[in-house]
Amino acid sequence: MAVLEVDDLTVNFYTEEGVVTAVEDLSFRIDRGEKFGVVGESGAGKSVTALSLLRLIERPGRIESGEVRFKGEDLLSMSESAVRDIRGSEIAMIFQDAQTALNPVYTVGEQIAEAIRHHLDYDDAAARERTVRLLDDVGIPEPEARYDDYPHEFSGGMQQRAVIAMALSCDPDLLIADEPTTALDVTIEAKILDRLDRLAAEYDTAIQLITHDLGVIAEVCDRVLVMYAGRAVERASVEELYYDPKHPYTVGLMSAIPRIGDRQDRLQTIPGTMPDLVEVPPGCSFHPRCPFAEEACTRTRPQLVDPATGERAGPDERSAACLAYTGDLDGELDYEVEVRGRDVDPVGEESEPPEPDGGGIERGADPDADSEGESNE
Amino acid sequence: MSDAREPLLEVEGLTKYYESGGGIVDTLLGRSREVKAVDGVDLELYPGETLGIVGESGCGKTTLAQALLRLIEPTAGTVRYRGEDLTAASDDRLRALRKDIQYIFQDPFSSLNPRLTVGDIVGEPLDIHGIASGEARTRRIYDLLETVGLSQRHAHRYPHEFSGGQRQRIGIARALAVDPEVIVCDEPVSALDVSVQAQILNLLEDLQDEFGLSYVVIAHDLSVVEHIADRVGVLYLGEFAEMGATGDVFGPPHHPYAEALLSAIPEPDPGWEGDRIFLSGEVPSPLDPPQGCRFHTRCPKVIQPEGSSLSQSEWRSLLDLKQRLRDAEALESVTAVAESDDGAAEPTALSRAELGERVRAEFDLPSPVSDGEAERVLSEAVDRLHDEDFDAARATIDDAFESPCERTDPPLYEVGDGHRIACLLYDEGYPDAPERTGQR
Amino acid sequence: MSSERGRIRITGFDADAVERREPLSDWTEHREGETESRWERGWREFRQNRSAMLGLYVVAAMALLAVFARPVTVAGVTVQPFALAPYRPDAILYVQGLDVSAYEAPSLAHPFGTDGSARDVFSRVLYGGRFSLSIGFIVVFVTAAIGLVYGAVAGYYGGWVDEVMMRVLDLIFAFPGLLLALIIVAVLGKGYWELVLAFTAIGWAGYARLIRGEILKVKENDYVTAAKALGARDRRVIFRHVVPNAVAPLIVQASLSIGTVVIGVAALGFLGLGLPPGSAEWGTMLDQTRETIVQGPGGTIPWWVTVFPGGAIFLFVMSMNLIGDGINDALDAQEGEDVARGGEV
Repeated sequence: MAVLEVDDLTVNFYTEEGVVTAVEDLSFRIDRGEKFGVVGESGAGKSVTALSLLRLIERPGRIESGEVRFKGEDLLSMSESAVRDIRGSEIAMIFQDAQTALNPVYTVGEQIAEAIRHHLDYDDAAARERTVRLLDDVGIPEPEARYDDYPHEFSGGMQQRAVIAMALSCDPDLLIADEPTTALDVTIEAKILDRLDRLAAEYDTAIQLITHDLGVIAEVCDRVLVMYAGRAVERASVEELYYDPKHPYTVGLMSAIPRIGDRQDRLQTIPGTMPDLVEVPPGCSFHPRCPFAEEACTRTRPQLVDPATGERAGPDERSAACLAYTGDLDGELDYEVEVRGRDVDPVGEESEPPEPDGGGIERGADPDADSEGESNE
Repeated sequence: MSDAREPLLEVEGLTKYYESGGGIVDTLLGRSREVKAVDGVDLELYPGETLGIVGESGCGKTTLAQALLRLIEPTAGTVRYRGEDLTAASDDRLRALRKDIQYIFQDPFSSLNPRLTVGDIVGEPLDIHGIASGEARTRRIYDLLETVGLSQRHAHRYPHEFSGGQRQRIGIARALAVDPEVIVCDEPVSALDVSVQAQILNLLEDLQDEFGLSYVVIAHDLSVVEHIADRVGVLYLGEFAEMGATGDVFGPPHHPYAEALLSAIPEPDPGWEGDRIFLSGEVPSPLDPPQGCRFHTRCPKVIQPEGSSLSQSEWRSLLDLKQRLRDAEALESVTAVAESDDGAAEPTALSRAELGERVRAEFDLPSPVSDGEAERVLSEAVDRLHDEDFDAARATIDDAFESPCERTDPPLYEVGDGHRIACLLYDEGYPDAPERTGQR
Repeated sequence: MSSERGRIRITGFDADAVERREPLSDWTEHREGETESRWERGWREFRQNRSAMLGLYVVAAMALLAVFARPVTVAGVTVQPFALAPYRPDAILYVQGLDVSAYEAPSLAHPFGTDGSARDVFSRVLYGGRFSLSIGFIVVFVTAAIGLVYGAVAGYYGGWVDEVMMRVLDLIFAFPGLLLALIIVAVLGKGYWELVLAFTAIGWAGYARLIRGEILKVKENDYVTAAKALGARDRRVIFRHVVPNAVAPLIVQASLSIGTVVIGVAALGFLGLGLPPGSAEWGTMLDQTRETIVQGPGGTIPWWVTVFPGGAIFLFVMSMNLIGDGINDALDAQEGEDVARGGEV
C-alpha cells in the first residue's frame, strides 16, 4: 500500500540568470514501512524534491506541475492549514544540520513536548513522559536530565538524535531524512542509522532517505531512485542497483567510489561536473560525461523505461532512462560488474557458475522477492 | 620497509594545547582550562610516500596538520624537515621553508580569496618568493593551471565562477607553484561530490608520480585513506592509537578503536553484513581527557582486573555504570526509563528489588553477573543508591571496578614490521587479556 | 551475505574515452561570458537600484552646484570662474544699494527670498553646500581611515594587543559625542577646522569597532591561512587578503554616516556653536531664523528662510541615505552567493 505517490513533479526556480528546472517530471512511490533512498550529487535536485513534498518551496521557486499523493490525497492542492497539520505529525522531516533544526532558546525536551502537545493533544505531564521515552528510544543517555538541557549542551550526534526523536514524536507515516548523517562521524553515523532502522520498523514508518553516500544507501534502503540534473535516471531495488546497475551514470558513480578491500591503483572517474541547471545539455543531460554516448543522445531525451523490454515503466518498476534500452543506440553499454561470490552480467544475460567458495548462482535479486537477497552461503 | 631510508619529515612529541574559556581576567587568575588538542605525537614521512592520518571530529587532525608547518605554533615538540628543526627556525628561514612544505585546504569555498583572479591566486606564491615575474610568471601560471586540469583562459576569472572540484584544483595549483617536496592535504576531497572526489584523488596521485611529492593526507573517510595512503595513523583525542602500513592497519591485529572505526564504515554493497561494533558513550572532551588510556571509557575490549571472570560485555557495562555514577546526582541518571505509560513509579519510590532491576536494565547487566565478587559489589552499590547515598555508592564501585587501562597511557607497541598499536592488550604484561583482535 | 568488503568491482566506464572524443553537441561546461570582479558586480547591482541612483544624482547635482556657486581662487589663481549664485553669500544687498529689504518673499530676482539681513537666500543655500558637503565627506573620510587602521591592527593581531586597544575604544565610547564636540568648539573657538576636529575626535571609534569585528570573521577564512602558508608577510596578508574582504560594511557605514555628520554640523550650527554666525552654512542659517518661526497674530512667518536651508539639509541627507542603502544592498547580495553555489540543491 503506497503511503506516498509522486507523479510528474516539476519544480522551477526563477532566478536572475534564468529559469532553473530543479526537478523535472519526477515520479516515484513509497510503500508503507518501506525505506526508499534518493541518491544524487549536489545539484541533482534531491533536497528540492523533499522540500516540495512538504510544500516548503518558497520564491523564487515554484512547484509547476505534478501531484504528490499522501495516503491518497494530493498535498499540492490542499489548503495551507491542512498541509500544516500534516507536517510534523504525519510527515516529518530531518535535515542535515541538526543544529539549525533545534531552537537554541528552548530546552530540547520542551521543543519535542511542544510538538506532541500540539499534534497529539496530550497534557503537559503525558507529553513530558512520552518525550523522555522518545529520548531514551533514540539512545540519549539520562533522558530525564537531558530533557532540560539546551541544544548547545548536546554533541552533534546527540542533537541529530534529538531531531530524530522530534520527528518520530507524533508517529509519522513518512519520515523524510535529508542527509541525516553526513555531518557526523562514522561511528556515530553507524549508531544512528541502526537506531533509525529499528525505530522505523517498530513504529512502521516509511523512510525517504536522501543522500549522496552510497554506503549508507546500501545499508539502509530497500529501493532506490538515482537523480541526475533534476531528473530520475534509474529506479531499482537496492540489490539491483548495486549488482546490476543499468544507467551509465549509476555505473559511473559505482566505479568512482573508493572501496575498502579493492586494491585498485586509480579510481575510475566520471569526467566533468554536473551541469548548472540553468543550461542543461540537450537530449540526455548526462551525454557530455557518458563514455557510451552517441549522437542520438544529444537529440532525444530518454524516458524511464524497463531495461528488459524498452517499454515505459510505471513508478514502481525497475527502470533506467537510457536510449540503450529503447534500441536507439548503435553501440553497446559495455561495462562489467563483478561480484566476488556471485556472478552477475550486465544487460540481462544468464551467468557462469560461480567459484567454488560457495556463492549462490542466482544472478541478482528478483525484484518481486523479499529484499534480503538470495545468495546461499 | 621504512628503516633503510631517511625520513623527509620527522615529528617528535608534537603537542598543542589551547587556552579555553574566559578572557584576560580568567587567564590572569589561572582559571582558564586547556584544550589538549594534540598531545605528544610522533610520526615520520618518507620520500615519495603518502601518510594518511585518520580520526573523527575532535581528534586533533587539523591542529596536527597545521602544527606540522607551524601555521599554528606548537606548544612543545619538534618537527624536523631533512634534519633541520622547523620548530626552532627563524621567521626568515621558515618563510624560505614554505617553498618546500605546502598545504591544501579542506573547504574549496573559503580557501580562495574571492577578490583575486585565479591567475593572481596561483601567481601569488611566485610573487612572494620572487620565483618568476613578467612573461615568465604568466607562462608559469598557465602551465600550473594546465597541470591541474584547468585551462589558461581560466586565469582571468574569479573563484566564484568555478565549481568545488575546480576550486580545489586551483588550490592545488597554488601549492605546486613553489615546487614543494611535501604537501600536507587537509581533507582534500571531503567537501566534494563523489564523482569529483575520484578526479581529485587521481590528480593527486598523478602529481605525486610526476613531481616526486610526498603527502600527508588528513581525512575522516577511511575508504579514501585506504585508497591513497601507503601508511596510516589513527588519531584519537590527540594521540596516535595505531600506526603502520595501510594493509597492516586495515587488517588485524587492531587497536580496539581502529577496529570499531573500520567496522562502522558503511559498505556500498547491500549483501554485506559485517560485524558492527558500537562504541558506548561519546567522545570525551579534549578539555578533560580520560586518565590512562584515552579510549578506555568507550573501549569494548577494556582489560579486566586479574582474576575477574566476568564476560567482556558485562565488564564494559559495569564500567559504563561507574562512569555514569561519577557525575550522577539523581537516581534517574542510572535507571532505565519506564517501559509503559501508566503508573510507572519514580525511581526514588522504588523498592530495593525494583531499583536493582531498573539499574541493571539501563546497563544491560544480567542478574546475577558472572563473577561472584562483582555481584557482591554491585549489590552493595545498589543498596547505597537505594539510600540515595551517591558518594558511598561511588566509593564502593570505584574501589572494586578498576581497569589497568585507567592507570596507564599505553605507548605505541610494535606488533609487526613498522606496525604499532597503543593498547595494553599488546603489552606482554597482560598475557591473559581478552581476545585480541585477529589473534586467537 | 558476506562479511568481505570490496566484493564489487565495476570496469568498463572509460573516462578517458570521454575526454578523447569530439564533443557531441554544442553544449560546453563553462559558460563563456563576461567575468567581473566583486567590485564590478557591486557597481552593477547598485546601478540597477533606482532609488540609490536617484540619491547619487541628487548628491552629484548638489556637489556641482556647490562647486560652481561662486568663483574659487587658489593662491591668487582663479581655478573656477563660474558663479551660479547671483550674489555673494555675505552680501547685504540693502547696504549695497539695491532696493531689497529683509525678509522679502521669493520672487524672480530672489528665488528663495531674502533673509533677516537682506541677503539672497538662494545664493547662500547654494554656497552653503560647500560647507556641509565638504565637512561631511572630510570627516567621514578621516574617521573611516583612522578607524580602519586601528581596527585592522586590533583585529588582525588579536591577543593582548586587541584587548588593550579595545579597552581604549571603550573609554572613547563612554564619552557622549555631541557633548565632546561642543566642548572642543567652546575651547578652540568656532571655525571650519575646529568643527572637523570636533567630529573626528571620537567619530573614528565606531569604524574601528566595526572593522575589528569584520576582520575577526575574515581572519578565520582559509585563504588567509593559505597566504601565510605560502610565506606571505603580515603586511601582504593584511592589505591583500584581509582588509579588502572586510571593508564592505565600513563603506556602507561611511556612506550612511555622511548624512549623520552633516546633520550634526547643522545641529551645532543651529545651536550657534558651529561656524561663525553669518556663515552660509545651512544649520547656521537656521540658527538665525529661530526667532522668526513663531509670530503672534498679525505677523507673517517668513517661511522661506527656514524651509530652503532646512530643505537642503533634508535633501542631502536623504540622498546620502539612499546611496548608503544602495551600497549595502549591492555588497550584501554577494555575501550569500558562495554558500548558495556550494550547497545542495
